[in-house]
Amino acid sequence: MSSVSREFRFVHCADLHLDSPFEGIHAVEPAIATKLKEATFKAFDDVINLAIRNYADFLIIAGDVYDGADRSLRAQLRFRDALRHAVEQDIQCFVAHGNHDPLSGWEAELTMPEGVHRFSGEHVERIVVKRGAEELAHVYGISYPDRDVRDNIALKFRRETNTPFAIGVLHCNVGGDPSHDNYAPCMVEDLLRCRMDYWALGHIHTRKVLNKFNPCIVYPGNTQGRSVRELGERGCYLVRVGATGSITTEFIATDMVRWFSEEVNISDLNTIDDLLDALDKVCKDVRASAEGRASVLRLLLIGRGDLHAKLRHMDAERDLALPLREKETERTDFVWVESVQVATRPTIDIVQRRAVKDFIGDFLRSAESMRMQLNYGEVIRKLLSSRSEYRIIARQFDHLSDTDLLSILDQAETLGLDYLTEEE
Amino acid sequence: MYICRLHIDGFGMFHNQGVQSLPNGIILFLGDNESGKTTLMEFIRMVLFGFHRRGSRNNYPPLGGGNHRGRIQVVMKNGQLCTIERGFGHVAIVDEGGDPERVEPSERLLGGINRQTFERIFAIGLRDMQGLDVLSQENVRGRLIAAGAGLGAASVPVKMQDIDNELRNLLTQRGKQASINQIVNRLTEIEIQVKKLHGQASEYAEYQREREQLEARIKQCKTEEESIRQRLMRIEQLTKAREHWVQLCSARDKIVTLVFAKDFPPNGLERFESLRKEIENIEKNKEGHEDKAKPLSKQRSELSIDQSLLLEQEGAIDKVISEKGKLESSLEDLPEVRSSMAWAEEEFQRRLKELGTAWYPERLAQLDTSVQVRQQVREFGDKLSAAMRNHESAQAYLRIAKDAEVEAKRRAGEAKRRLDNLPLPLITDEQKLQLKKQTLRMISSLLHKRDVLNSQLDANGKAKKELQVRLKSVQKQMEALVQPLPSWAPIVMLIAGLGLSAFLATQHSYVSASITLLGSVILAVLFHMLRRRQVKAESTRLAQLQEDRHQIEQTQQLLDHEFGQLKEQVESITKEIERLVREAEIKQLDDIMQLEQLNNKLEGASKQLQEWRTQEREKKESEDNWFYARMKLEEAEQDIERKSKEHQQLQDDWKNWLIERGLSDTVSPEGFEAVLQAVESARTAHKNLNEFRSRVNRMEEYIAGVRQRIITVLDNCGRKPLKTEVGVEDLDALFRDIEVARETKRQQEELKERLELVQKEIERLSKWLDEKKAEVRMLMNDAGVTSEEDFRRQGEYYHEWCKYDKQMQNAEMVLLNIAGTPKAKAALETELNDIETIQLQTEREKHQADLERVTNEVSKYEREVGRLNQILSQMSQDERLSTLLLEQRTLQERLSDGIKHWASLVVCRHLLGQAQSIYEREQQPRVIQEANRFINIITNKRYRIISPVGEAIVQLEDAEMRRKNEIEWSTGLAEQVYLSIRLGLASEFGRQTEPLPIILDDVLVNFDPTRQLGVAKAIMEFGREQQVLLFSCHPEIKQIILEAHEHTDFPEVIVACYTLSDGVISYHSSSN
Repeated sequence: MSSVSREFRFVHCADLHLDSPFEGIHAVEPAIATKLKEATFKAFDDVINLAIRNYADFLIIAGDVYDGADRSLRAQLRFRDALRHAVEQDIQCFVAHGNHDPLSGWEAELTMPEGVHRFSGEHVERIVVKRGAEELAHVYGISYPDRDVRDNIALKFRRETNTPFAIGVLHCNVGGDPSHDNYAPCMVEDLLRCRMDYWALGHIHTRKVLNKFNPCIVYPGNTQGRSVRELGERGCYLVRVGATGSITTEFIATDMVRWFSEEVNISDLNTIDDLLDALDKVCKDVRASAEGRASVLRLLLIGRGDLHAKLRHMDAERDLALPLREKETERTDFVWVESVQVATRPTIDIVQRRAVKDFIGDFLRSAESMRMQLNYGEVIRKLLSSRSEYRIIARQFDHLSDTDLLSILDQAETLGLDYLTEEE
Repeated sequence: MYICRLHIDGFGMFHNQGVQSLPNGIILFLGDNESGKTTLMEFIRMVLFGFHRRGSRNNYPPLGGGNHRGRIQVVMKNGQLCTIERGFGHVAIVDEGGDPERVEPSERLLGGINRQTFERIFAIGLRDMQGLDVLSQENVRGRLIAAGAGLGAASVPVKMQDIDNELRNLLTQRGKQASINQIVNRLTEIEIQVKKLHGQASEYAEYQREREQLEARIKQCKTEEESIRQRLMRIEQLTKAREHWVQLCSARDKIVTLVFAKDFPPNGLERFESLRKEIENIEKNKEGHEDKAKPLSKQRSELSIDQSLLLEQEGAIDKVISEKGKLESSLEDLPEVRSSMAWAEEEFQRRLKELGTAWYPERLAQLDTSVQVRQQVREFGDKLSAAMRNHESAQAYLRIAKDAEVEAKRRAGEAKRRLDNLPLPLITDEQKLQLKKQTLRMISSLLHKRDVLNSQLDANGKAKKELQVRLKSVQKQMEALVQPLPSWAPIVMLIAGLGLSAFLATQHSYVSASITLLGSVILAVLFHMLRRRQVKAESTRLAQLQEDRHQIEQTQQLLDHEFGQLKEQVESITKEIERLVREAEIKQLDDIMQLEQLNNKLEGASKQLQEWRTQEREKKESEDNWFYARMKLEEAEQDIERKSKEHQQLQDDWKNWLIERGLSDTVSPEGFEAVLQAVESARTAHKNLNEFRSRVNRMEEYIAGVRQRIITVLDNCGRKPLKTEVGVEDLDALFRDIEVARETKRQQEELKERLELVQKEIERLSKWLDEKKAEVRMLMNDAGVTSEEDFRRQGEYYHEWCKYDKQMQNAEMVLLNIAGTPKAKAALETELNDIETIQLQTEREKHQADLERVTNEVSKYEREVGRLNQILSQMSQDERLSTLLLEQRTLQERLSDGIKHWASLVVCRHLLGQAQSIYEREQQPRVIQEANRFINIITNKRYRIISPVGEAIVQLEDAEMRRKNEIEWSTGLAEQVYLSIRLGLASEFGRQTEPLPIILDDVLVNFDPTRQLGVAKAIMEFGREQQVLLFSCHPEIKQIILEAHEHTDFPEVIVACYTLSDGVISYHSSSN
C-alpha cells in the first residue's frame, strides 16, 4: 500500500432498495404511508448529504439499489437525480449491481450522469480515483449480469501493482448467511487472498465488520429498515483513509423510519387498563430510543395470565392498536403501532389438564395425538384441503412449513381451550 | 341427612304437633285439601332455611296457638344427631351433647345450599314435571351438567356453530363478502395493475427520445431566427442612423465657414451682459444707502437723558427693589404669625392644666418616657392581669368543685337507696349458679341422646316387627306350597287308555283303539313331565324361602342384640341423669320441657344476681366519687387564697414604682400610657410656642432692616419718602423711574449702531463697482475688440459656430451609440453612404416575414416539448406503483394472518368434533347417569338418557341407538324423563354435598296405574339413599307405594304413612 499526500474519505453503502414497500405492516394510514414510501429515498438522500457534508471524495454503492421485482420508474429517476447531486459536488460515484438490480434488469434508456461509474458484469473493472493529478485509490468492482449468480466471483478480484489503495466492491454472501439468499457465495479467506485494502460489500442487510484490518471487510447493512426483521438503526459507513493508508470507519445512521418489535408479558397485568398503560409506556420508550425519528412498532403480547381470557373477546386492532395510534399522524417522530399481536396463553397447565377425564381432556388429548403423529404436517394439510373453499387459498399454503402448521395446531388448541373454558 | 323427628310449637294451623321416629325411607303424608300438607312442607323449609320477610303471608303465623317456632331433629350422613331450633328471629343448632350454636343450618349442615336451590333440587311438584327448565337454571347447570363435562358455561355445539360462522366470515368457496376472499380479489387486481406499471420505464424512454428530437429542431429554428433577427436589427440601425448621418454631413460643411469666431471667450457675450447689469445694480444700491444715513444722524442728535442720578444708583436700587416681594409678604404675614403665637400659648397652657397643677415646663422635660419604662409598665400590667385571671379562674374552679361535691353527694345517696330497695338474690354464689347451669346443659345433652337412642329402639322395634311380618309371610308361603300332580295319575291314565282301546278293539274299531292308546300314552308322558317340573320349581322355591327365613332369623338375632345394647345405653344415660340431678340439687327431670323451665329459672336467678352486683358496684363507685369531690373542693379553696395574696403583692409593688417617679399611685398600668401621651402632647405644644416666638422676632428684624436700606437709596437719589414710614410705594416709584432712564439710553445706542452699518455698506459698494468695470474691460481685450458693438457682433458669430459644432458632435454620438464601437460606426457610415432608404425598406419586409414563420415553428415545437415534459414529470413522480406495492404488502400480511386464523379454526373445529364423539361415546355427566338409573326402572330399560356434550338438553336413546329430542317425546314419556332427571339431580346433588330429604308433592297423580307403579318403584330406589317425604291428597297413593314396596328388591326401605287432618299429624301405618 503506497501513501497519498493527505487523508481521503469515501462513503460505503449498499442495499438501498429504493421505493420498495415496507413489509409486515398490517395497517397504515395515508399520512403515514406517504412517509413510509419516501423513507428509502430520504435515507439515500441522507447518504448523499452526509458524503457532501463530510467532504467525501467518492461514494460506493455495493448493489441492490432497488428491488428488481418492484422497481419503479420513480425509483430509477430519484436514484439518478441523487447521484447527479453528488457528482455536482465533485463526488465520484461507483455502483455495483446485485441480485435485486442486475444489469439485465436495469433500464438502459435512463443514462447516468457523468461521474457515475457502473461496474460491468463481464469482468472485474478497475477504476482510478484521482484528486487533481494525485491517484487516491483504485476501485475494483463487478456487477451481477443476471439475478442468479451462484459462482464465487470474489475469486476474480486481483490487486494490480502500483495501486495506492485498493477497494473491492462486491455484492455477495460471505460465509453463507442463511437469512439471505446465497448469491455469489464466498468465504472470508477468498477475500483475504485478493489483497484488497477495503472490501465494500453488500447483500447482508444487517451491518457487520467481518475483518477490521488488512483488509477491512465491511457489510454496511441497508440504509433503511423495511420490515420487522430489520430492527434498529440502519445506515452507511464513512471511511477515512489516512495519508499512511490507515483506515477508520464510522457508522452513520440514515434511516428515516426505524423498526421496533417489543414484547409485553401479561402475566403481571390484571386489567385491560394495566395493559394499555404498559403498551403506552413501551411506545414512549420506543419514541425515546428512536431519537427524533419516526418509528414503526410491532407489539407482541406474550405470557400466561388472566388477561388472556379478556383478550380473547377483544379486537386487538380496534381495542389496542387504534388507541395507541391516536394523534401519531400529526407528529414527525410518530410511533406507528402496525399491529398488536396476541400470542398469550391461558393460565391452565395444559399438560395437567390433558390428564383430566372430561371433555376438555378429550379435546387436549385429540390435539396432542395429532401433534404426535409423524406426518402431522400432512395430516393438517389434508384436513385443511378437505374443505371446499381451500382452493382459493391453496397457493398461500405452499409457503407454509411444517413448523408453521405446528404453530397453527398450537393456535387451534389454545383457541379450543379458550372456547371451552370461557366464563359466561 | 334425614329428618328423624319434628316438633311444631306454633306454625299456621299446627300447634304443639310433632312426629317422633321418622325413618330414613319413604314417608307418606296423606291428607285432604287444606289439611295442612303445604303448611307442613313450609314448616320444614322454615326450620331449615328461615322465615320469609316479616309480614309475609308465607310465614304462617301460629293461628292454632303456641309460639311461632319449632324444631327438627336430623341424622347426618356421618350419623351425627343434630337438632335445629328456629323461632322468629333466632335459630340454633344443638349437636348431640353439645351447646346450642347460633348459626344457620345451611352453612353448618346443608352443604351451603340456600332455600332457592333446595326448592329447585329437593322439592318436586307437578309443575316441575312440565319441562327441563331446571337444567338451565343457575347453580344447576354449572354444578352438575356442564361441570360434569369439565366445561364452564361453554356449549360445544354453539361454539362449533360460532366457529362455522367465523369460518364463513373469513372464507367462502364463492362470494366476495368474506374477508379473505376480499383480500385475495384485491391482491389479484393489484397484481394486474403492478404489471401494467412496470412498463412505465420503456414508455418514459420513448417520450424522452421524442423530446430530444423536438429539442434539436427547436435549436435549428432558433439559429435561423437569430440570423434573421440580426439582419433586421442592422436594417433598423441603418434606418435609425440615416437622419443623424445627414445632419452630421451638413454640420461639417457649416463649421468650416465660421472657424474665425472659434477663439471668442467662452460665454463672452453672456458674461458681458451680466457685468453690465451688475454695475447698474450696484450704483442704484449705493445711492439708496446714502439716502438712509441722513435721517439716522438727525434722530441721534435729538435724544438726551435727564435721570442720570438714577442710573448712577442703578445697582443699589435694583437690590432694594428685589426685596419688594419678601417685604410685602412679611408685612402681610406678621399679624397672622402673631395671632398663631397667641394660640400656641393658649394650647400649651391647656395641656399643662390637663396634666395637673403640679406640672410646669421643666418637669415635663424631666419625665422619662423611654421604651424601657414603657416595657416595665407593660410587664407590671401583664403580671397584674395574669394574677387577676388566675384569681378569677380559681374562683370558677371553686364554684365547679362545690357543684360537683353536691352532685356526687346526691348520687351516692341515690345509689344507696337503690341498693337498699333491691331484694337479696336467691343465689348469691356465682360459682354455684354456673355449676347448676353446666349440669343442666349436660342433662339436656343426655336427654337428647336418650331420645335418639329411644328413636333407634323404636326403629329397632319396628324393624323387628317388620321382620316378624316378613317371617310370617315366608312361613305362609312355605305352608302354601303348591302340591304337584299325583304320581299315580299317568299310570291311571295309561291303564284307562289300555282299557278303552281294548274295549274298542273288541268292537273292531282298531283305528280308534290305536288312537286312544296313543293318546293315553302321550297324556301319561305329558302329565309325568308336568309333575317333574312342578316338583322342581316347588323345591327351588322352598329352598329360597328357607334361605329367606334363615336370613330373617339372623337379622332378628342381630336386632335383638342391638336392642339389648340400646336398652343398656338408655338405662346408663338415665342413671347418669339421676346422678347429675342429685349433684345439682334439683328436682327430678322427666322431659326437655321441665329442663327448659328449670333452665329459665336459673337464667332468672343469674340475671337477679347480676343486677344486685351491678347496684352494689354502683353504690361503691358513687361513694368514692363523693369522697374525691370533697377533696377537690378543699384544694380549690386553698388555691384561691394563695392567688389573692399574689395579686395584692403585685398591686403594692406597682404603687411604689409610681411614687418613686413622683406620679399618682392611682394610675393603673393601662392608664399609665395615657399619662405618657398627655406629657408628650404638652411637650409638643411647648415646642410649637417657642417656634412661633422666634419667627415673629425674625420677621420684625427683617422689616426694619429693609426700610433703612430704602431710606439710604432715596437719599442718594435726592428723593424723599412718599409717606412718613417708608414702604412698598417708594420702591414702586423708584422702579418706574429707573425703567424710563434705561429705555432712553438703549435707543441712543441703537441709532449709533445703524448709522455705522450704513456708512460701511456705502464704502463696500464703491469698491465693488470699480472691480466690475475692470472686468468688462478685460473681456473686451480677450475678444480683441475695442467697442461694445464689435464685441456683441463677434459674440453672435461665435454662437453660430458653437451650434454647428454641437450638432456635429451629437450626430457622431448617436451614430456611435447605434453602431457600438468607433470601428462599427465607420462601417455604418460607409454602408449608409452605399445604400438607399428604399432598398432598406424592401429588405426589412422580406426578413420580417421569414422571422414570423420561424417563430411560429419554434413556438409549436416548444409547446410539444412542454407537453412531453409534463408527461415525463408526472411519470417521474408517479407514486402509484409504490402505493400499490405498499397496499399489496399490507394485504399479504393480513392474508397471512387471516389464513392462519382460518386454518386454526378448521383444526380447532376438527378437534372439537373428535372430542365430542369421544366424550359422547365414553363419558356422560353424573346427573344423566343417575337419571338413567331411574328411567331404567320406570321404562323397564327401554330408554337411555343421553346428554349431548356441553348442552343443557337431553335426548332419549332407544335400544336401537336411535335418539329422540325432547320435542319428539310423548307427554307420558316426557313426564317420566323429567321426573327421572329431577331424581337424578337430587341424587347427584346429595352425593356432592349432603343427601337432603326430597319433598314430592303429588307427583304420581297424572300417571296411569302401570306408570304409577313404575314411578313408585323409582321413588323406592331413590329412598334407598335419601329420605323421601311424599305428600298427597289421594289415599290410593299409599296402596301404590306399598305395592311397589312389595315388588322391589329392597325391602329394607321403610315406608311410613302419616295422615294430616285439621292441623293434627297422626301416625297411620308402616311397612314393617
